[in-house]
Amino acid sequence: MSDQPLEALPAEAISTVEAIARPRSVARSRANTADLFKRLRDNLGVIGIYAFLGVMVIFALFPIYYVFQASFNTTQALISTQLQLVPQAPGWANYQFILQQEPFLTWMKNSFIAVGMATAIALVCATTGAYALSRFRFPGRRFGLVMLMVLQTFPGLLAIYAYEQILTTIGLEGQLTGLAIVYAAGNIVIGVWNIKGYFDTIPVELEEAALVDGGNSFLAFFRIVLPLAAPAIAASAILMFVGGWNEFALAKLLLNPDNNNVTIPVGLQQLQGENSTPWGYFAASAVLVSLPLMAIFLYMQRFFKAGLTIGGVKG
Amino acid sequence: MLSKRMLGLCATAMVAASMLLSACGSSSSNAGSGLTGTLTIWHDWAGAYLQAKQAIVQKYENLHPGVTIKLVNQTDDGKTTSAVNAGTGPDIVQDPVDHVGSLASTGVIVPIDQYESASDLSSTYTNTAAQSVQFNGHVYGIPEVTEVVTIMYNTKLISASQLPKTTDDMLTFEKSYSKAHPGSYGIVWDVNNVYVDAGFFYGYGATIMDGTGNITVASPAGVAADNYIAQYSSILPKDLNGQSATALFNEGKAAAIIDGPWAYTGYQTAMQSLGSSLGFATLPMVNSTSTPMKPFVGGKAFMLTKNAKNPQLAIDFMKFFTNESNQATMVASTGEIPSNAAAGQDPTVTSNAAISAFVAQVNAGGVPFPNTPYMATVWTPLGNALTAVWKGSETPQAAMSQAQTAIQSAVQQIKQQQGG
Amino acid sequence: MLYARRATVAAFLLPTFIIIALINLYPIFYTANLSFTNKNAFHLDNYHYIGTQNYQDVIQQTGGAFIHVLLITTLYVVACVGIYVSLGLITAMALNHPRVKGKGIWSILLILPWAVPTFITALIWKFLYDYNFGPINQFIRVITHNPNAGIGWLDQPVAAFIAVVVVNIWMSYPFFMTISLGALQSIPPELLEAARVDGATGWQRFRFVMLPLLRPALLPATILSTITTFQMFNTVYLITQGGPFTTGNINDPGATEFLIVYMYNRVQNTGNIFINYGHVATVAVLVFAVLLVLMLASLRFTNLTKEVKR
Repeated sequence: MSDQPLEALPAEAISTVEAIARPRSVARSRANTADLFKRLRDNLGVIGIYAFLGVMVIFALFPIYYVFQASFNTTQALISTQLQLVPQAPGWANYQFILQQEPFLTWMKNSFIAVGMATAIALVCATTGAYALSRFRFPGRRFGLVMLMVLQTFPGLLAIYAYEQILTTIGLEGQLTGLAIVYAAGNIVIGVWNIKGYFDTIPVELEEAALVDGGNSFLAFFRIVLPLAAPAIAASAILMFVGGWNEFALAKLLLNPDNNNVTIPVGLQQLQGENSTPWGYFAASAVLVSLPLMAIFLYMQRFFKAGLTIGGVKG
Repeated sequence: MLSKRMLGLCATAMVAASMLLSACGSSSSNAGSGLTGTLTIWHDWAGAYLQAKQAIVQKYENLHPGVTIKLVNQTDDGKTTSAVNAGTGPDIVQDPVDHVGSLASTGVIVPIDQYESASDLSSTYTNTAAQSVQFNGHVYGIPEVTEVVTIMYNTKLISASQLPKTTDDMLTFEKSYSKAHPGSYGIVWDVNNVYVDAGFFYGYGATIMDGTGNITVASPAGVAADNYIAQYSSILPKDLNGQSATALFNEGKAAAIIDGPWAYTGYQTAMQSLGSSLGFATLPMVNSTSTPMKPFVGGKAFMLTKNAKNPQLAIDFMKFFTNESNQATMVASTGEIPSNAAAGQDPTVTSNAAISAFVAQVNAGGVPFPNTPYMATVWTPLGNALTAVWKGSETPQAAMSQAQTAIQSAVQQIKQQQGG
Repeated sequence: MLYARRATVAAFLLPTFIIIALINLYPIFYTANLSFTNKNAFHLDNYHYIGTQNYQDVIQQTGGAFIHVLLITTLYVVACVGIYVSLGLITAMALNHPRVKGKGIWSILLILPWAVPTFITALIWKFLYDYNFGPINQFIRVITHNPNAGIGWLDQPVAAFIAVVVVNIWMSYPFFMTISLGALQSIPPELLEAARVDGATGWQRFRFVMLPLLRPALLPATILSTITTFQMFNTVYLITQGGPFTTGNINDPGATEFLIVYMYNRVQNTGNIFINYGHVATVAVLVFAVLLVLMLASLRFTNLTKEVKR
């Protein structure tokens, strides 16, 4: 898919692209003459990189580790006057409580419904929209693409009454579907930018051939472009899904607070009493909530490699 | 495509309407024979509390098989207001009584005089509880429980005789205890919490809020109260708050704590695991005024929203929830003061050390938790002012007068909104 | 470029248009309209137009503090975005280094903060920062052997500011790490190798080969994140409520009282039952106006529109 014209690359890159044409043997012979010091220096670089990654992992994981160990602490109190890195009275009680006493699985299902729908709606919009923006020329095209982003500057959290009114009008107020539509709107912009970038790299000749053979634009879109853009669509879907999965404020404000109708973050927040924070339950839930996302990350990682092209850099 | 969707919507609406009609029909045909329907209650119960409350709900559902009760933990009154106005709110809200005035004045909850008159109230419920749900001459709810803060202590660490009788004693005790036990503290509490600190302000003779919107925290009395509280900032932990106070007490790192019934079960369990037990004492007397500290005597109440589809059922449930036997059973595990007067006389209740202690505190001194709408304006400015003084970034005089100005202007805003 | 009939183009654009019009455009008009009315908890149905009264009220209430708030918000945004974009990029480059082993494990571990619900994130960090009981200070006490050591993370204005910046970096860098990694992996290794052969230093390779290729991927994401950070409410509010407040004067902004938090605290000063919908709407319009100006300026500055030329 390296059909990108050289003109599109910045001037600085062009000289290096030309350099590729040189015989490989030059590079190899230089590597062979590398002395011992250089190798040591190279290794120091790698050690430095590992050290950096190590520090980053500690930064990333310490708060998570803290929650993780607290999830096995059965006393519910997280506060201690001593530095405590292992649970005081370890046990599964928090997990049992969350899974049995509280409709945690219902919350999880609700989260999947709302976020899944939001992702689906946003993908439909983003793929079709991105296709139009990538393939057709029409007035207001560039304006529209930038406008998508400009509109995000409106503080939606302060317009909650407008959302409520719209959702009431279409009969979806307080429902997961209504929340999904609001989430979808927020996801479209990143989806359009990412997917358009990828579409731009797909040679238009394929579709032209299909059109000459008597197909129409829709067929070309569904049969040719969508399958080719699968990595970008998958990567966008993950970005959208993660954003919604963790969202709290809109869900809290828009959903009917019935315990069986809320998403995980709202359900968890409802566990919190006015004067107490059940840390053990929160911690256990935080671990459980993160599991599906980790699974998605693990499984979908390859798509990040191939499909994240916001703005379009695919070479 | 759009018209298809509209058709779909119409169909849904029609189905919903017919269901509604049939629901109405069935309930009217069943009138008298037994109660049926669904009640949604938005409440603030959580944890162990919730279990005690759920037991009563369960009992009611068993008694009336046609009734379903949905309990929803929802404490944001902003959300309650918008939901009720959109017609998607609950039938009943269970809320602290200081919200009665604000919810009533904005029409979220409706008067229930026709089901429960003021005299009915005072014949069933304690005077404090009955007063707390009356606003502008109307009855707006059925009181659930009464709450007050008092001193609870770790009997293994101190004995009753060591507990301070006056505010001067309390300061001396605080100093000497942490001197004798480095890393530990004498009495802890949520030091910048307006609700807990109210006892000091009223004890010193200042008013935090009254029915007309009057506030006197910037008076010499109010400044003296804050000045007194601030003296503890050099002895107690730097960012002491409700949670850390609880943790200190639970770990035996604080000898006593000022807190209310909502926390009592937790403390009792913690004391057991420390091999100790929980003692109670009333708040001290303020030396300069020779009056006892007067904490807010508040509580929770059930209120009927304007969305309630079946007010009779809702009221019946509220009364059932607060009848003598249910209250006596419930408070045994929650330690709250029953709102039901007869339940308060029940031997199981009078012999309950925790409840007796809270009742003793009410009798020793307290002010009714104001249920005026203006109460809503107090929390943030006064809380910020208390914090600023505690952290030493402002003097009590400056902070209190700034808070008072802010609160007065917010009260003025509410009055303006109400007017036009 | 393909040729298509107008109807076909419209059909492709329709789904996006419907959702954007409904959820993004309509609320703007609805809110603008509301900002000229006296809708409040007492006048939910019988409200009427009151001209620019709300604007006068809100501007009077926020007063001269508004500029101050805008400045600390900008500082916050610049600090957060600058650091998490760089950190994400550096981490991605480290992971993309050909000699680093176990890339899958590293990246899963480093991406984890992204998987934690924001509301839990706020609670965790608030707790980590606790002066007496937070593990950070406890750790400081252990290594300094001084039981009284510690930083008032949420008590001192500067420390609190740093504290909320760190939280935002923690929760946001994985997104940029992921995007940068995706973009980096799509750069043909031959390109970098060629530059190396040409004698380009590491910095030159980064500056003149990688960055130009990463720019189109990072720029839209950075602009979007900048907007989100400007509108940051939840995390900061849950951790500091905008504090520490150093005075009792309600109009003095706290050290972390950024734009939306400040506005929220002002319009909530009558308690959240007495929501003045007119005031909230006015605030939304004002914030929108400010962000719009900043956005348009940044579009001009970064030439984002050029990315759309093809």
